[in-house]
Amino acid sequence: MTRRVATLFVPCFVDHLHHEVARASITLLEAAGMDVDVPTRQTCCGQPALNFGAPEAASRAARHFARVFRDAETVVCPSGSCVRMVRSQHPRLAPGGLDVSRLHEIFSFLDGAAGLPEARCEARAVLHAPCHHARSPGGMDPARKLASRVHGLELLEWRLAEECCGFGGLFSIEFPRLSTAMGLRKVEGLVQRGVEWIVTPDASCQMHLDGIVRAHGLPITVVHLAEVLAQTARRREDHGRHAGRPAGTKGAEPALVRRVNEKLEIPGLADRVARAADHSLERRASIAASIKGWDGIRDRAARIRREALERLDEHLGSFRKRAAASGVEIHDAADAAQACGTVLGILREANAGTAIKSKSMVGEEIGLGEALARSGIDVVETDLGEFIVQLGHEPPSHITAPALHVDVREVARRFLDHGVIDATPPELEGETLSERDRAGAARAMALAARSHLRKAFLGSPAGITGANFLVAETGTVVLVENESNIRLATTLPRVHVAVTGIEKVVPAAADLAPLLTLLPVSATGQRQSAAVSLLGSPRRGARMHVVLVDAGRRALLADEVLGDALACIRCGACMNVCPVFRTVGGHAYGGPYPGPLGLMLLEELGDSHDPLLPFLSTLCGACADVCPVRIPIPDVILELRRRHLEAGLMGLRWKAGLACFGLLAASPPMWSLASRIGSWALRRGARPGPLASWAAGRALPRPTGRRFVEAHGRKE
Amino acid sequence: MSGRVETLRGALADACAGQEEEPLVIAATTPDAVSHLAGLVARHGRERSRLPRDMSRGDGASLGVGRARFVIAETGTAVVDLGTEEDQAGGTLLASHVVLAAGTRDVLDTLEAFYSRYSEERTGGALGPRQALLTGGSRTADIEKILVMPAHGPAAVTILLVEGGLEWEALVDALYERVGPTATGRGRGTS
Repeated sequence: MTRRVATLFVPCFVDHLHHEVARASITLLEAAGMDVDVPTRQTCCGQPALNFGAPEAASRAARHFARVFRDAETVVCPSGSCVRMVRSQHPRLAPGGLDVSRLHEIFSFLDGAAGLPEARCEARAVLHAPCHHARSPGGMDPARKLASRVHGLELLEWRLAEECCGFGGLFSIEFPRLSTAMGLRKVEGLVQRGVEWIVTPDASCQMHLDGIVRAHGLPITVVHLAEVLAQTARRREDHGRHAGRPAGTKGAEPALVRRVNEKLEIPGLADRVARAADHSLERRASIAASIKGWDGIRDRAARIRREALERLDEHLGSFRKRAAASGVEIHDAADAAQACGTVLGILREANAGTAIKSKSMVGEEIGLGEALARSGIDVVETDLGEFIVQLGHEPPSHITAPALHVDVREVARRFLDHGVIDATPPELEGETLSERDRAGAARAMALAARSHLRKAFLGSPAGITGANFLVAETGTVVLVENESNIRLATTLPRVHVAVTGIEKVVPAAADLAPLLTLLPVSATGQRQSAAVSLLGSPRRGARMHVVLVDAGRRALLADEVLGDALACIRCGACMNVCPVFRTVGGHAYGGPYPGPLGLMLLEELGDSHDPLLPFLSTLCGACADVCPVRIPIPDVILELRRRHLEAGLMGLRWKAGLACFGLLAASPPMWSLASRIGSWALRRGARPGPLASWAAGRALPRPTGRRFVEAHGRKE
Repeated sequence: MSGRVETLRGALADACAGQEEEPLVIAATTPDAVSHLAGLVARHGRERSRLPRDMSRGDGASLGVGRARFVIAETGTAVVDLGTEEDQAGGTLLASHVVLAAGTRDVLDTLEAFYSRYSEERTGGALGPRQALLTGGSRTADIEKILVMPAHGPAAVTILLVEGGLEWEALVDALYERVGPTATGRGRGTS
C-alpha cells in the first residue's frame, strides 16, 4: 500500500527562524501516515507584499508558488495566515496557477486523522487565536480540539484570545512601538494568572509574541501548537531580559508615527479607550444575539445603502422635492467653505448670535464650529461628550463617544475651570477612586451639564444638528440620539439647521427599519436609542434648513473601490473592535473620523491627508466582522495602500524594497542568498533598517544559519 | 394581543431599567386611565404638570402627559406625533416624567411594522410631518461609559395603555374636569 504524500509549504518565518515548527509539522504528518515532501524551491506566499500595497510583487511570489506546488496532490502549511492568503488571493494574483483547494492548514488537515501520538505537556497555557486563522473557514475549532486532547495541558480562558497581537507583517516594522504595545496589552496579566505558555497555531504571531515576552523578561514560553502535539516543545529557560534597543533611535519619524507614539505615552489612555469600547461591544454582542435574523438584517441594510448610493442623485432629488413641499429650505454646499458660509448666512439672516449644536460628524469634518466662532457666533455643544471636548479645546476622539479618552477627574477639572460646577465633587477627593466614586461623580457631572446647558437651550434662537438619514420617499430628516439634546435643539429655537452629507439619503421610509435596528445596537449596544426624530417640515412658526454637503463625496462615490465607504452609517463599531484604535484612541488619526473608518474616509474627506494613514492597521479583519452594512474595510485599506505605494507617497524605501521582494520571491537562489546575508547580519549584531525597528521593544529571533528547506528539503 | 403586550413589557423593562417610574401602566377603561393620570397630577402638583392642552413652554415641568399614536412592542418605543402643537411638546419635553397614552390596538409588533406603513400613514394624514420615537428616558454614558439618567430630557417615560382603544379627546376632557386648568392653560378647547 502506498502512503499518501503531503507536500509541506514552510512559511518564510519558519523557514528562516523557527525550524522547530517545520520539524514538528513533519513529525505529525508522518505520524498520520503521510510521506512528507519539502520542495526546496519554495519561497513565500507573497502576503507581506500584498498587505503593504504591492500586488505586482505579491503576484510574482504567487506565480512562483504555483510553479513549485502545481503538481502536489496535497499541500499542508503550519500557518493559517499563509493558507488564507493563498486560498483567497492567489486565484487573482496568479490566474490559472494552482488549485488552491489542495492547500490545507495543518490542524484542519490533521483533525480526525488516525495515528497522531498521545501528547503530554504539563503546563498552564492559553491558546492564541491568530486573526487570519480564526477568520478562516473552520476557524480555531480544529486547533482547539487538538490542543484540548494534550494530557496535562491546562488551557485557561483568555478574554483577549482573539484580539490581534499587533504583528501585522510590515506594520510591526513601520509602527514598532505601537506594534509592541499591542502585544504587551495582549499578554498583560497572564503571568499573574500563572500562565506559563502561550500556544499559537500560527508562526508569524509566534515570532512577535516571543520577541515581546523575551524582551520584557516575562516568564512565558511562546510555542507553536505543532511542537506541543509532536512533543518537541521546550520550556524557555532564559527568562532574563533581552534588551531591546530603546525606541525612537531612527532619525526623522513620520508625523503619524510620532503622533501614535505620543498617544502611547499618555498614562491610562489605552485602558480607558478599551474599557469604553468593550462596554459597547459586549452589549452589542448580547443584543445582536437576541435579535432574530441579525445577519439577514445586515444583508438587507447593506443592499439598501448600495442601492441608495447607486442612484444617489435620483434619491436626493426626491428628498429635496418632498421636503421643500413641506416648507423645508434646502441648500447645496459643494465644499466645506461653502457649507460653513451657508450656515453662517442662515444664522445671520435669522439674527442669531448664538446657536445650540448637537453632535455632527460632518460638522467636525468641515470645521463648522470653528468657522462660526470665527464669525462671532457663540456655538454651544450640547451633547455631553462634545461639551466636554469643547471645554478642553480638543476634537472628539470617537464618533459616538466623543470624550471616550477623558476620565471623570478631568471632566470635573474642565467643569470647574469653566464655571459649570462651583466645587470639585466630594467623590473625587480621594487618591484612588472606587467604582462607586466614579459613578457618583459621573452622575454629578452629567446633571451639572444638564442644568448649565438648559439655560442655553431655553435662550437660543438657533439649533444646529447633523442627520443620520434622509428619506427620499417622504422628505424626512432622521436624527438618532440618547440625550434629548437633539429634540431640544429642533424644538425650542426658531431656526433649525441640519448639516449633512449627501450620502445619508435612503430610498424609502421602510428602509429605516433595518437601519435603525442595526445602528443603536452596533453603536452603543442598545436595542433602540432613547429618541429618534423624524422631521419632514419646520415646526409651526419656525424655519428648518437642510444643508446638503458634498465636500469630496461625489468624487469618492465615483471611485469603484473607495466609494463603498460611503455606505457607512457611522455606528463606530469598527473603531471599538480595532486593536490599533483600542491602543492609541481617536486623536492619533489626525482627523474627524478615527479608526478603520478614518483610514477609509480621511483620504477624500476633511483636510488631513497623511500618506502613511492607510498603513495604520494590522489588517486583522475585526472591523469587517462587525460592520453592520458589510463594508469590506480591509480591502478598501489595501487598495489605498496600493495607490499610495504606486504614487510614490511612501518614498522609495518601501517601493523599492517591495519590488525587490517580488524579484527575490520568484528566484529561489536569490531568496536563499538574501536569507544568508540577513542571517549573517543578525549573528554579527548588525541591525539594518527593518531589524532595528523590530528590535525596538522586541527581542530578535535567533538566526538559524540555513533555510529549513535547504537543510531538510528533498534534493532535486 | 396579550403576547404583544408581554413583549412590550419585556422591552420596556430593558429600555427603562433604572427609572423610578413604572414604565408600563395598563388601564382597563378610559376612566381608569383618567384616574391614574389625576393621581399623578396630584402627586406632582397641577402647576408642575403639563397636560395636553397646557400652553406653557417654560422650564420646571415635572410631569408631562401626551399621546402615543403607536407603540412598538419589540423595542418599547412610543411614537409621538408632534403635529402642529409642538409648543406643547416643548413643555412635555422639559418635564422629568413623561406619560404617553395609547390604546392596546395601537401596539405594533416591530419597528418593521411601523416603518413599513409610515409613508402611507403620512399620505393618509394619520401622521403629520414630524414625529419623535421615544424609548425610555433621556440618558448619557459619555463619561467613562457610566449610565446617567436623565441627560437633557425626561428622566422617565411611561406608556399608559388603555385596553381596547384610546378615546383621546374624552380622556383629555375628563382629565381637565378632574384637575382643572392652569393659569397658562386653556383647559378646554381644540387640540
